[in-house]
Amino acid sequence: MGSTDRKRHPEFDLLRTMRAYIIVVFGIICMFLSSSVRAQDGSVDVELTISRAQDLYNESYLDSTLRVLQGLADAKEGDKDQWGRILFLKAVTEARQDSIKAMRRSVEQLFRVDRNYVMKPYDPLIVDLAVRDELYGTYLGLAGGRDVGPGLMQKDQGKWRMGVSGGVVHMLLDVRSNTQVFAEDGQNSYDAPLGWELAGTMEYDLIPNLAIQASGGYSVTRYRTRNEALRYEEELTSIPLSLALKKMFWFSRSPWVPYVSAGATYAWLDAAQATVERSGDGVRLLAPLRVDRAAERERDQWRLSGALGLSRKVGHTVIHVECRYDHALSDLTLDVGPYTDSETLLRYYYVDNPIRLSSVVVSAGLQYIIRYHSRNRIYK
Amino acid sequence: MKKLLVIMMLPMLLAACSKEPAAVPLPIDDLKTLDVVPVRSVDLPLTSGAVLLCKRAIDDPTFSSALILDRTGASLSTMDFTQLPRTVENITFSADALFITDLVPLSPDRFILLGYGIQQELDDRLHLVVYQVDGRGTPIFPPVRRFVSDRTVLNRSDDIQELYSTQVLGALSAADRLVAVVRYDREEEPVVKGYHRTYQLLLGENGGNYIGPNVPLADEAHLLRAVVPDGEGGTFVMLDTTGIAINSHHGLLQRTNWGAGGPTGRSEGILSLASVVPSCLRMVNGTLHISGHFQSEPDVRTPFLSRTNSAAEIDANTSFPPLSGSDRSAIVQAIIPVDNGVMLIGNVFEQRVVSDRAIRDDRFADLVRVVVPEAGSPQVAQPVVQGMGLHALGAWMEDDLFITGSLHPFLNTDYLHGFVTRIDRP
Repeated sequence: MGSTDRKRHPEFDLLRTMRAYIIVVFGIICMFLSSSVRAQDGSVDVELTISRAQDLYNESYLDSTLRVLQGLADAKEGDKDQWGRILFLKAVTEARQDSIKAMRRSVEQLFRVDRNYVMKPYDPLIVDLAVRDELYGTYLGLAGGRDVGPGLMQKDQGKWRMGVSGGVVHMLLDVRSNTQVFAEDGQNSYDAPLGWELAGTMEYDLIPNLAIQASGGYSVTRYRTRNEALRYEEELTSIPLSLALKKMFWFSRSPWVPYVSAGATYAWLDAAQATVERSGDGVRLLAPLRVDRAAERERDQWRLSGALGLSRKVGHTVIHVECRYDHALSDLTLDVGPYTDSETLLRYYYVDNPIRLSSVVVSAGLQYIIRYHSRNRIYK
Repeated sequence: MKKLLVIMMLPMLLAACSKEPAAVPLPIDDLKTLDVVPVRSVDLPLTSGAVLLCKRAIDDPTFSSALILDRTGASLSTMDFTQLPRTVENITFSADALFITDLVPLSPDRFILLGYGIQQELDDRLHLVVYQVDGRGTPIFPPVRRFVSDRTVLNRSDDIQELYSTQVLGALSAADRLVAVVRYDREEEPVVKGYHRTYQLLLGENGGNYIGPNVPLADEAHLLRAVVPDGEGGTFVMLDTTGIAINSHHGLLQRTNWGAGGPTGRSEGILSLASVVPSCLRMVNGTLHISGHFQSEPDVRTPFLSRTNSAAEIDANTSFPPLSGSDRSAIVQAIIPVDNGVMLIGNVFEQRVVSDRAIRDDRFADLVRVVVPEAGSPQVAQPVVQGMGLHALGAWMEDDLFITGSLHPFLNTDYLHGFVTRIDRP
């Protein structure tokens, strides 16, 4: 009764419509981005040829069956369903011929044609097969299962991945002088609270396990300066764009895939909002000053990056955690004219010391696998 | 793939569209502020740098210390005037009756402190006192004194600094000869009259002696402005003198040639600018340069520069360098020799009419500089720091230009801090 009411409620109708709309839009985007999505172009000719191969198989003309199926495979025609049936029949035929290696290659190909392929142990084609266990065991070894643990395909994180990541940023401050405007203030001390970043990432395997990684995001970091009388805090908002090479490593049957990456980052400094405060002692008639100092900062920030990470595939999504070091190549402060903002300088007695901001970023993220490698990576 | 990259580049492109104009850096390379209350800057021609004569608090009428700045603007040492010996030639002055009013550099590490002491218990007799000290104010020789007058009274001057109008200024007419001029007020019932009196002292343990007569000032409000050597064994003395308008004064420049026994010649001329304040006098290539400001209208400050080789012709070569437009008052506080003339350092105020009190309390004046060539028109004034109330007191040129002065810190006019700034040599 309740579910019936919910279905009729206009708000739920709207939610369902919106959800459907989002799914459709997302699907269109994925189709737009992924050339791996094939059109449903199954043809009658392919269907007839599959039937012929099936007949040949039933009549135990295994070589002929394989020749027909190989012809289909070489022609690269048919839709995903037809390809699934072609490869399955090919695998079964190869199994019956005791071509275990070839069978395994075909089974792996099944996953590459249909990432959600499910082999049923009671499939009529294999249920009475003498090598059924070999065939189904190969399938389980790739797909994984309750009894056999994670499958070998779990290491395969695909050829093209897109996703998002987020992390905390620990700034490493390189302050190269300790200039003070007012000696009575004492020495400056610098520190940086944790910042954060969000990024969209895309990875494309140039060759298996060696990917080019591109990302763009949004980063908010801060650093602080203090002395006996002054507190200065600057919040930096930047848009980092990075390009890196990522090398992944497969170890034995472990589903975890460690990786290293190295690359370069360009970050556009969008805003540098500073807050300057002087301690009140009855003498100082200054309210805290908020000033945008972006114009006094080096807007083009270049960095070299290196990262260590660990990833694992869950379904067709890759989750990863990584630790990245960004080594700044450019100063935050400008080379000339540090004495720019006269109010900050002469009302609050604050002057910029040359500072360079490297960082350590610990991030986590997930990526959806848009496309798998078309060639086998496990049973080659 | 291309579309993807375009999507990723979009935020950057959007951000780039809102790019802010590049900040214009101030033309200064370094700035330090000092926890002192500077009132006057004394040049150190032998070593470059300056000495800041400082009050203890902004409302004090006397100096309490001197801060020596080296050629790079760094603080070298401080002299605390309260630590000077108060017994001078058998007279012990009380702490509140002994004042230092001027400093004359003798060598890189020796200085002459000039001041006066008052015998409060004995008819308020005024004595000129002279100390020879090192950079930390430690006496090198026993101080000496000269009697000036009795029945003296202390009045505060009606100007920006509000120091006691009684003061002693001095200059070395020769390496071993100090000329000191005392300006003081004497109570002569029922009025108070101002006087000045000139002394020459041979430096050394015993000292020489010349004592000039008491010379009355036309008005007790008239001040002693400066005493500078002329580089030829004589001195220039700048005093106020009676002006044409009521409550106005002109400048009186006296040149005195000195021999061992006293003056050997004297000439004088009048700088006929209304309510003139000659803030800085400096010999440049044998020519006396006087600069400061005068009041073209009541409380409308206009900068001037006079150049002369003789006191009598002081009024003949006066120009009015354009530190500001006619809608803003401006003053000059320092002269620096440059290759083809002099550079003037001064301030431009927000408004046209600005009183002494408004100048003292100002927090928004521009600090500016202008080069005035020996021949031709002055250059356009260049701002150093605009709108921040940096008041120049002195300047020197080393590899770079250094300007020292004062500012009200933290927007608080009850306090004063010193500053030293370094600017790339223009």
